Amino acid sequence: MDGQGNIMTSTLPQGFPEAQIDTIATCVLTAFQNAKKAQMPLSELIINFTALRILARELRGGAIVFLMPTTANQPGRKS
Amino acid sequence: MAVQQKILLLDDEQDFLDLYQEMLGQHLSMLPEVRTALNGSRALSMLEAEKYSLLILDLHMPKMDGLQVLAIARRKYPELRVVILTGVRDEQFRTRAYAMGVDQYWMKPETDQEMGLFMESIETLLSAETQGGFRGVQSKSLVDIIQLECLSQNSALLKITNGAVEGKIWIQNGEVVDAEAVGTTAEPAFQRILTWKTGSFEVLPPDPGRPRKIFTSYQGLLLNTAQALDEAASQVVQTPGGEEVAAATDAAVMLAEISQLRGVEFVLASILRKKKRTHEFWGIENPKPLSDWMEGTFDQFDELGEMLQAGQLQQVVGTGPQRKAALARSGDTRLCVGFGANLSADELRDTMKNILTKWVS
Repeated sequence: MDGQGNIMTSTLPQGFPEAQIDTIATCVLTAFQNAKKAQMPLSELIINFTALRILARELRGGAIVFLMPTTANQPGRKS
Repeated sequence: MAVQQKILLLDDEQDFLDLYQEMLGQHLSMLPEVRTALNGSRALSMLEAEKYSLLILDLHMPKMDGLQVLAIARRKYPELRVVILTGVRDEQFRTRAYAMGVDQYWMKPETDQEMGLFMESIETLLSAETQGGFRGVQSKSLVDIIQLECLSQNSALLKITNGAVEGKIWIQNGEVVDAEAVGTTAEPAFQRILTWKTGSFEVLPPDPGRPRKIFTSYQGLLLNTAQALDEAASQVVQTPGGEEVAAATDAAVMLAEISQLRGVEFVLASILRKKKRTHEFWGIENPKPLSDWMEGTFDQFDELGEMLQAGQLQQVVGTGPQRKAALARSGDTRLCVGFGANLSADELRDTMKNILTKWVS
């Protein structure tokens, strides 16, 4: 996404709600921008939810965001 | 005429399914009908087709794992009892499973004794189903559960988990006989556990061999603890400007302790007191911009988590050229901890775990 939150390219499926994409973009960009205002510029954010991890890298005002569901199927685990 | 109860077993190993189908079908007193499924899709189809009393499922399965099945089953069949039976010991998965609403979480039994305990707990779960009653025990407070167990003259072992910290309360014949938490036992441990505002708990089979160390009645224990908590909450001081603020205290002492941890450059805590947030900090000259960032980030990502149905926001880690920052919560308290830029990801994770353990205790 660019610095205004416009999605430039995405590998998300077409069915992924646009509203959710926009919200993710807004949250990530706001977090980067406000961190800068707080004199604590950040280049990367990792947001851990119970079932999802979001990794965001700041790119000259915009960002690239990776969405990774967290499941029990981690590499190397056996039941 | 009593309706025969149905159990659905879900695991990707046929041998396991065959063994437990026989065990559960023949050795439980209510002789339930036990059906099996080798994958999540099949299990969900079976749940759609017929009513089951209990779902026992493994976590680690190809294509659709146990947590994914759990998420769907919990939403579509709120009355269904769910037990996780897994071979992988992982506290994170345990916490996640309880947060999603399982009734019990078991490691696959390896000894006869463990198998006996497991069968007993399934028997108890199914008996509760036939006797009626209410689900959603997790929505009750710990005090409610203790009172319920004691009033019913029950014996049980309550295992309480609060993040990385664990406590236990032994109840025998309606009396609280012992407690254990964070290196303490008896009444001090009981009081400490009851100060935990959030967490999850399991009601395990009783431990009749536990020697008695608490001799106060459960009503007395609860009253003493409530009084102690009220006294702590009501300690306020007046500033020269006439404003009442919480006495300082535990939070300030805790921040000072946290500041001694390796790599910590600053700490900011947002504490909810009487529905209002107060901020305590160490190592920051002007905390307002940072506290605004912290509160805004928490609020935004909490909302995002709800929108995406991704579960609770657990932690945010930011990396910058000069420093790293981690956001986490402990109960109603929001924490922002700043670290040097050179701290590795593993060290940061371990230090945050340490901080949250200290905060809770």
